[in-house]
Amino acid sequence: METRKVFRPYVIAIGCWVLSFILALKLGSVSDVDFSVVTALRLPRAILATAVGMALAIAGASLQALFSNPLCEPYTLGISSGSALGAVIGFSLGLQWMVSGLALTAFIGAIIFMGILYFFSRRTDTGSGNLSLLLIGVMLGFLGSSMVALCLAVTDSQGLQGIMSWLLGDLSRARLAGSSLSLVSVLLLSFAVWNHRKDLDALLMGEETAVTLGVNVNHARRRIIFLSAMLIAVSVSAAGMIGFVGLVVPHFVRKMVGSLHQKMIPLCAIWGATVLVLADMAARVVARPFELPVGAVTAVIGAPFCLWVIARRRTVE
Amino acid sequence: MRFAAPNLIVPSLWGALFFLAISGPVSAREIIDATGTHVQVVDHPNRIVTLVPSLGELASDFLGLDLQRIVGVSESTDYPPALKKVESVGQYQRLSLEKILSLKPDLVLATEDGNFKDQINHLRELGVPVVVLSTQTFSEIEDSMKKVALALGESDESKKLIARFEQGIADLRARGAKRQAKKKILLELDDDPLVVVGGKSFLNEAIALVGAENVYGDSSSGYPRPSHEDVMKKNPDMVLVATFGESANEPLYLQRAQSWARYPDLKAVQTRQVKVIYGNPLLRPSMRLLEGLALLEKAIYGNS
Amino acid sequence: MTKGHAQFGSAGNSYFGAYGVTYSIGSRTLLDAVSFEMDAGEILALLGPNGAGKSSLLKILAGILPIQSVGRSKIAARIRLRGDEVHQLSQGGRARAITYVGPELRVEFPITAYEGVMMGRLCHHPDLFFSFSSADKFAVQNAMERCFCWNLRDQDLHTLSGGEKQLVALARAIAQESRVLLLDEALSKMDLHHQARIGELLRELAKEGRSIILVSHDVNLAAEWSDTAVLLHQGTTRAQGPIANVMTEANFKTIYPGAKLSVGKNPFTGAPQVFFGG
Repeated sequence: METRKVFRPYVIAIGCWVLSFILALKLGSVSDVDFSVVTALRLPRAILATAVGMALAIAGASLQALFSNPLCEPYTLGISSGSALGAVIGFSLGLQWMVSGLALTAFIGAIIFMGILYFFSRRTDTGSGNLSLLLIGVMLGFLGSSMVALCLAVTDSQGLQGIMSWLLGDLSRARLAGSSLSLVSVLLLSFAVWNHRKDLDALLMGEETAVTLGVNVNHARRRIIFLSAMLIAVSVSAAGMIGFVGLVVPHFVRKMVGSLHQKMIPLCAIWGATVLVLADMAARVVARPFELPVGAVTAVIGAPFCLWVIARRRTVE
Repeated sequence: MRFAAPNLIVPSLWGALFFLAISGPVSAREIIDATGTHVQVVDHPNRIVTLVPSLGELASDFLGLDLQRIVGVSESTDYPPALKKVESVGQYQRLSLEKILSLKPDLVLATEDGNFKDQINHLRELGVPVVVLSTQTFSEIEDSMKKVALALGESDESKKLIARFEQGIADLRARGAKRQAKKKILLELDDDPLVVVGGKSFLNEAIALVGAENVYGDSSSGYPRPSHEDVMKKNPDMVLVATFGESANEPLYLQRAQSWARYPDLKAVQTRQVKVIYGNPLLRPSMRLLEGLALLEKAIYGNS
Repeated sequence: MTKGHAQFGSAGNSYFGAYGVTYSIGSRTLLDAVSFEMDAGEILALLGPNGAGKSSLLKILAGILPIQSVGRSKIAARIRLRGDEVHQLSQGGRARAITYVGPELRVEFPITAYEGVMMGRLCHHPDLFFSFSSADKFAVQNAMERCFCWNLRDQDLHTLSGGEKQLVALARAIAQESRVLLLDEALSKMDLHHQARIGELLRELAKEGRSIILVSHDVNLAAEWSDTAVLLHQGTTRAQGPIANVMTEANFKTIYPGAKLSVGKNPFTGAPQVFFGG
């Protein structure tokens, strides 16, 4: 009895992921395609969506624990923009021909923006639902996005087309080899984050309490920032900026199984993957035969959700 | 030895023919496209997809009545009208790869400056033969025509068409060279903001070809956006407003021409030399370009 | 009641000692070479007006304010527990040695009271792969029952009242089984009956061998449950020793000037009490 109850959330989650994966293979911007199109285009996309959804959900959960603020996630904190800027700079340096070349510069961008965010967060009271952290993040987001647009307009004669892809998220560039590599990287990184579940749990109680619980907070913070930046870099370099997955998924997973990361991390991973696979499928199907950018779909659902969370918290307080 | 030789030659000739026959038309020809890529194209492509409207036109020029060989076109392809009924593969900036693949093309025609490089590469990786063309200058246009003709399967007809085009260009060039007083032209593509033809565009070459001078011909950009003050400084002899609608007389463009009356100090306004010119044939680097150039010449120099 | 009294100046025979605790930011000195010692089983009240440096002192002892010189801020201290230098312990070791309970438990995420208390057991599991054992579960239940919050175990922390949260926070510290408990205004929001019963709980905990330092703006509360006291004023120690020796009218006149305060005795327990007036 006990064991079955423990496994139930995982079984449900994995079942939903499998279903959404199958749906994403069956449906797309063109109906009635044959198998070669499915394997050539839809399979790599679904694999990439799995990887990116997983990465964003876990990065979101980690950032929320790190800043003790449930409104944190890579996009709203502006870190995705920094990562995109790094990737675009890497692109203009011609690094896309190197394996993970873009992921490297994307990582540097993510770390830099995260450093800036962290620096400002120490100077203001940003924990506990305070919105000033989000404000800083929004500003950083503007900064990053406008520099991306600038970079692309200057370096690429086809600049305007590239911008859409980076700024609104785009899974259409998925290739089988690249997506699989991304998936493997994300799985490894997620496992590394899961290994820090004790530290993440302690951080939920606030930094001071975490210290007194025996956590080396500086150490833990560095590691979590590093791992989150890597997760964000892998997603952004492959698929551009996709927002709100890291906000919505952890929120609902917490409602289902509580905040302790032993369960949170794996379930966020599976549900994050499911959500993005479905969002990408919706992006392809809703406006057939045109494909919407997947970031637009996640924003249309995620942004109102974010507002609702903020409003609810205000009334509770 | 002398008797053995004929016995070897004939069978080996048959053998070679046999091997050619069974290897069939899988990769009969190699075309080097504008990006320098070696593309293997079948002899007689039957499932052609064009990724920009101008290439749809150009392919149609060469295919003549065989238009059913075109199975996919980009969204705003409207000439020849028969192509409007062909399946669309999306906007040229953002193609639907699923759509393209589902059409199982054996030849895809794309441009270097219009289509998204990444999507072209993606198609190539998936094994689709994509011939990329460049149409920035007249020599590139002529080169593209030859490449497209080759890709589609060269025929006498296509050779004739190309020859006619080249001759037409040459005639225009000769007439243009004879013009003594080169009129100074501003060719407007859009207003608010004002977009004109600059130095890096084949339209600039077109203006030079017909024996006129583009006042923005020295601009380093293809389609600069000057201020109206700057236009007053350059003071062109004639302002041509290009139209891109269904017909040459759409009110939108007539309005644009009339709005130049706001600058009465301009020579072109004072001498009533602000005209509307049907832009579509000029814009599409296809056989219609000859028509367009003729229109341009007529607009500038009348019937002289 | 355990006797025990702080011995000023001896270099470390006692159970727990803090020596030369100094905290300065730029030219401002918040703590100036504060030293004191405690025995096992002793409850010490840290008294003084706001801004005297009481919270900072506790946070330095707990390791929340680290001993370092960074920028303009400089913290120095020597802290010993049973002869060991505390800063040489691992993070986990330190957590098993000393723990701090602050005035407010603020959690933004859905965590049940039980899970919150179970956090105290983290320092007992240094390895990566572990699961909470029955010993952990027993410690948690025991701590929560002693703190009168076992009935709240399945409720989310943010739905609890201020006083209930303080009970849970204290339960966490007890479940952690640290030898030294630093309670910083940790009883301030509790209902009166809880304050009384927790006070008795503190005595039991002390009897079990712990040392407890209590900071409370409610001087009488501190006086009721403590054996000894340290009176801080502007970063220095004004008085140390058994509570009755520290809570004198003379000391209060210097520390709280201009107020009419007199010191008497609780007729039932004999503990010193401050009265307004006189």
